[in-house]
Amino acid sequence: MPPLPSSPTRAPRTFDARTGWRLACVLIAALAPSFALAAPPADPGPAGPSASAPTTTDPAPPAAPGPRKAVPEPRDSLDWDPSWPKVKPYEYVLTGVFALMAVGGQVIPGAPRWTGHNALDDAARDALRPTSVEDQERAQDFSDLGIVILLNQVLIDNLFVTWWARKHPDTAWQLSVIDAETLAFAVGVQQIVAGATGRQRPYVDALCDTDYHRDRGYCVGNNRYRSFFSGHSTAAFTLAGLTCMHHAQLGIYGNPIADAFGCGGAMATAAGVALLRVVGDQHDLTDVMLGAAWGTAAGVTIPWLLHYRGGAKVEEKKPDEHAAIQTPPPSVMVTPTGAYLMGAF
Amino acid sequence: MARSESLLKMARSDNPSRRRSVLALLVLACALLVGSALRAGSAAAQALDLPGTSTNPSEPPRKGVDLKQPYWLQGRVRPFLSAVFDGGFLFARSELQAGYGRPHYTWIGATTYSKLTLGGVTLAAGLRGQVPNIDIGVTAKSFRSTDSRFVRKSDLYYESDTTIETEPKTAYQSLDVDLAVTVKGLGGTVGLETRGIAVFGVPDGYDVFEDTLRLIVRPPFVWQTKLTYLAWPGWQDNLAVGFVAELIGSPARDNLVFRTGPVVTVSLTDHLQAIGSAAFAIFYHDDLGLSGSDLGQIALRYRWASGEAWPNFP
Repeated sequence: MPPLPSSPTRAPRTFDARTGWRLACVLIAALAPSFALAAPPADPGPAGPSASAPTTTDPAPPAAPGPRKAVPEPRDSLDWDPSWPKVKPYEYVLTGVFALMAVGGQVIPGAPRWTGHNALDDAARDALRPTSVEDQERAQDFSDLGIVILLNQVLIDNLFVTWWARKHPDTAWQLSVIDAETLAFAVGVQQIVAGATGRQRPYVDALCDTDYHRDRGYCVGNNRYRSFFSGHSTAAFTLAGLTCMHHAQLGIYGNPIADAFGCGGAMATAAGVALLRVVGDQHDLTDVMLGAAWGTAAGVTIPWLLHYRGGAKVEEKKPDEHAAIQTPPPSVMVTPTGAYLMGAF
Repeated sequence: MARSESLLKMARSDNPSRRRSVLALLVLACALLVGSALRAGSAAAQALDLPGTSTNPSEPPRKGVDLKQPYWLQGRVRPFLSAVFDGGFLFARSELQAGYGRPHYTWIGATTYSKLTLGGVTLAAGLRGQVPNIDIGVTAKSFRSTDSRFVRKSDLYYESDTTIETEPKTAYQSLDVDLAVTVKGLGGTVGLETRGIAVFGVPDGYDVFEDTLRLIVRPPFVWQTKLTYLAWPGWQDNLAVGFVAELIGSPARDNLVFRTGPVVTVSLTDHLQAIGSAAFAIFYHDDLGLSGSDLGQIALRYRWASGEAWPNFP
């Protein structure tokens, strides 16, 4: 059914079938690479019996006849490096505290503590903001969609690829907790700062004195005074930073180009989310710039500081009779730019 | 700290009952967390500058997305207590069931659930019966919003019409009757679900944004028909992809909405399932923006039942 004719107060947004399919195409295009790479390898991997379902009707794997294989399987890129500390109990507690911070930050009473403008923000707003409120709202919708895409990419990487396809439930659990912890921390701090600074959102002066908008939620509640800094940008760049860090350290897709694509796509999506917050007149440019910087810093440094930089007590491995076999043999690789000799000498 | 360490030890334990205890504690903690958010009030809910607050976050579909489940098929027939927990970004849904049969497969009994989001609370109770290809139920539901408002009767609504602060806050009751049938076909499974909803508690002169259906309805009656198709790519039986298409009508408003989008779901363990389902409004009446669509947030679903032959967590 087509939308009805325009109301006397404002024109309806034409969110038509074409737009709907465009949204679906954006979603599919954004997530397709992850699914394409989620095809499970033939090797069942080291997962336990409960790691893939359903298990109860699967015939029990036959016991390997004869002595154990002499050559151990090479380490999978998704195996958790023994030198990386796993998530510790205090991190679960901190995640809860940060989540409470994110919620508690909202009860800081809204007040116009910061209503001034600066030349940079004004210039960006003039350049990017569409004139119609409907177009601004559509920009907000797309920024919401961008967040969902980023969130889904993280969940697909953790659950569909790492857990299910590549059968590393323990690594998937580590990644998921690190993601939750980092996101809660980044958004928790952002919420406290947004409530405390009380910067007025850019749309308030333009809209909230008009009869149509005066009583609407966005012109009445705390939300008007939470412009600094952008929560969408913070969340988007935190998720993008986490995505890049995990792909860099673990090679989740098992292919450097695909992993680089995953990271680059996440960063591009996050940049789009931030830009659309300015287009949607929800934030000034400085709000989203700080949100992007803060989110990226949190998404990259927290996993690195707590986990990927190492520092765990590595269990000493006893020398075994297979040590010589584990040493990679020398090899020569010829590439368009030259030749490499590799091996342990 | 010591408490959290003991929790972790329990979570690592091989003892299923201990693991279930940890799960119960985690669910309780989540409920308390979301509950505290709800108490923060409507102003606080609006203030969170993230999606899913002015509108409720996506909830994974309940019907037509079950994977092939030999685990639950093999349970013995018995009286049981069972549960289904759904969790996603800023929402949690807990369903408890008491019945007779094979839980989550073939059973009859009573069910109750609560759904918590920053947008509101839903409490429901009902009766349900399920056989392998048919699922039928009746549910009484009560919804109370933290930020959404009733809307004065009009021919056309916009997204922000549900935020007019001078109008009463949304709170309503409903009675849902649903029937879902699943058949094999087209290389996968085809699910057809029909639902009739009677809405009560809406003040005279107002319409209401129905939380689950994501559209503004005029009491007393709403209907929904949903078609779900799932295909198995052939790797294993624990991944399925497909699409969902739904048609919803509010006869008193002459309002018809059609939504469609992709579905993907995977069983991570016998108990744990990840589900992503999007449904974008293609034909619609009101201009609700993305509030009238389901953006397809991936969620986790965990099933549990008493008397399981191979209990495990997760």
